Amino acid sequence: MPTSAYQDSDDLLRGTLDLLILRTLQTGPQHGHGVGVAIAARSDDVLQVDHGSLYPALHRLERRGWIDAEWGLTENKQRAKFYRLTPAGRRQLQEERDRWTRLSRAIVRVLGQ
Amino acid sequence: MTRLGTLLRRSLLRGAADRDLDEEIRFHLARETERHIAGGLSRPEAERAARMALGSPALVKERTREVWVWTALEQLLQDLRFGFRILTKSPALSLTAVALVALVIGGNATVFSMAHGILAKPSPGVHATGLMTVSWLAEDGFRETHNGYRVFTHFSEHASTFASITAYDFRRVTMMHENGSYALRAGIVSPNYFDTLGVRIVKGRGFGIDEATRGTSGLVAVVSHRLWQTTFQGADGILGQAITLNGQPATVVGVAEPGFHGAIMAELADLWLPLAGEIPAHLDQGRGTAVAMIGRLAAGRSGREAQAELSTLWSQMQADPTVSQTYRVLLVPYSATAGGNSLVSMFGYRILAIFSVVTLLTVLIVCANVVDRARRRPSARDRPAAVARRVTGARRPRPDRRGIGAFGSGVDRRLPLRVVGIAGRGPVSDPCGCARASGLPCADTRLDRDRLRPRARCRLYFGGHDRAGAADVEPAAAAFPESRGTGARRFAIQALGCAGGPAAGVFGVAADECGARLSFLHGGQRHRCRVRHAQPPDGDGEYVGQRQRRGRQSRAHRNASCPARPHAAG
Repeated sequence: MPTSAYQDSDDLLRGTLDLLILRTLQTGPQHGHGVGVAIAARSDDVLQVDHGSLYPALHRLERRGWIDAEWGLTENKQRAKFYRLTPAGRRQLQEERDRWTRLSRAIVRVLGQ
Repeated sequence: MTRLGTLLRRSLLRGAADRDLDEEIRFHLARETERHIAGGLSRPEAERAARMALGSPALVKERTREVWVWTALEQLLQDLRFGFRILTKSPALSLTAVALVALVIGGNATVFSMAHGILAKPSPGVHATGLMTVSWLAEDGFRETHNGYRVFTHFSEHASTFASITAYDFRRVTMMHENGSYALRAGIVSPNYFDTLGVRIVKGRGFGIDEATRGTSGLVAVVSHRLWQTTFQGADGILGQAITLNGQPATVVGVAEPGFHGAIMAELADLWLPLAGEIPAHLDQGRGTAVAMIGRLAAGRSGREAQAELSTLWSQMQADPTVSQTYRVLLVPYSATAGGNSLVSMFGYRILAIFSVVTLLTVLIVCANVVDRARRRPSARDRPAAVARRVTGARRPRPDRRGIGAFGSGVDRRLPLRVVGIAGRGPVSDPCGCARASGLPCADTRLDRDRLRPRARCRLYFGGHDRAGAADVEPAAAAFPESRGTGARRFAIQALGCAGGPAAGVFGVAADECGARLSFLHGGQRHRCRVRHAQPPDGDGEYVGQRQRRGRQSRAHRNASCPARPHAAG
């Protein structure tokens, strides 16, 4: 059920949205809508990013210097704001990824007992 | 730098950033709509789904804006804007408040400067860093500046915590030279006096050790810059000038730097003579040899260490019958008034503390008066709310930053919040609000509370300066001012529509300008009345009445003033 999947992912996404955005932008510049779609696609629609939370998160990451933004044109010649990862963002992504890996392994160990 | 630039751009060019965000969200909705259409939805369904997924665009923008700027800075700017608006709204009150605060601050700054100058400043020309004044404290708390010359020699020979210690005393002398005879105040000082105090000799030199031991033969003197400029008329040949001091010949060997007249405020010397040993007979004047002392701490040594050392040295002199053991040595940081038993020296810091308390109290009193005055004179923005609270008996709402910040951007944005926050809350403590609205129970301008239901509820509809009128009034009624003079700009109308009470279906009006005329429609009739009490003594409400009552009225009567009896008008 999409609804339950959304609700589950909503809780899951707390605190991990930044990580998901950084990981998505690792593959290249993307606009806000594209980031949300990419996250949903890569998670087989399990993770549905709350669009209302997406833009505050993007601007927060930009303020921290982890991503940069620039206006550009899409493939349909629409004007859009593209976000790209900065070197500081790549370092942050690595840290976040390591932390998430440790955390998820710990949870798996607990659940496996 | 890019990050800083982005922050500054968003903070300073908020309009442009807002437009960017609007465009970004529009693009998002468009792309999401396209995605849903591609998924098989019709355009309306797709647009709806896109909006549902995003939520309220206004909320998204608000949450995003919170990321942009430093919230505290924004609130500070908001407060500054509000403060500026308050200041400009009541210029007379603001000018009075500013003038009062400026006077208090100016007065206190003057007093503090004087107190600081007296208590803590060194004498002109003295380099006070590291200087300590040796004082003598009696058992009864009395302080003395002088002690025997032998104490000075003992201290200066044995104290390792001081780089140098100088001794001084002063006498009145009569100086004679070719221009005449002058009574002067002279300092009798140890040869290291100028060096210890850090005072420059601008012409000639100070004293040598050997010069202090010559007695009356070969007596030398250093004169003040003022004495050189006045008595000696700035003569270039001042050095070597022969003078006579109390009948003894002497020679001027130096001129002290301008402004210097001794180490302490009370000295005010114009001439200094070297001292080593007992005061010479020609200067004794029967006072014996007692000197005051000032020492400069050695590098890296503290006043506490010096105090301990001098106490030890002082205790070593217990057996000397020539010194007074009833005192104990006390080191205090040097200033022009430090040490001794003067009022300033002994109680100066207590006086300063009292000044501080008085200053604080004065500032508090002024602030309290300004605040009280401001509260007694509510701004135009507060008046409708004050009337509403009076009519409904509602409590004063809690301060709302956003409400305050929104003020000035137009009535429309804050009006709904205000109405929700105040209207229709609680019982009617002033039932004349509804009674006034009906015009019937209070037609004789007397309030009969017993005939009114105290639990009647009122719904209030506010009209701002630009919104007074039928649009905000239920049931259908129109209220508008017929202004006189400058009243139009300051005029504020509140239309009161009562429902559920005895005055259901009728309405009342209130205005805030004395003498203004109101004209309004109700039930197909035009009503006219005149504002009689624009600003009651408590500044918390407005009343409408037609007839002027003579003589003094009680507050209850003023409250009872009601709209005029309706009469038909064209």
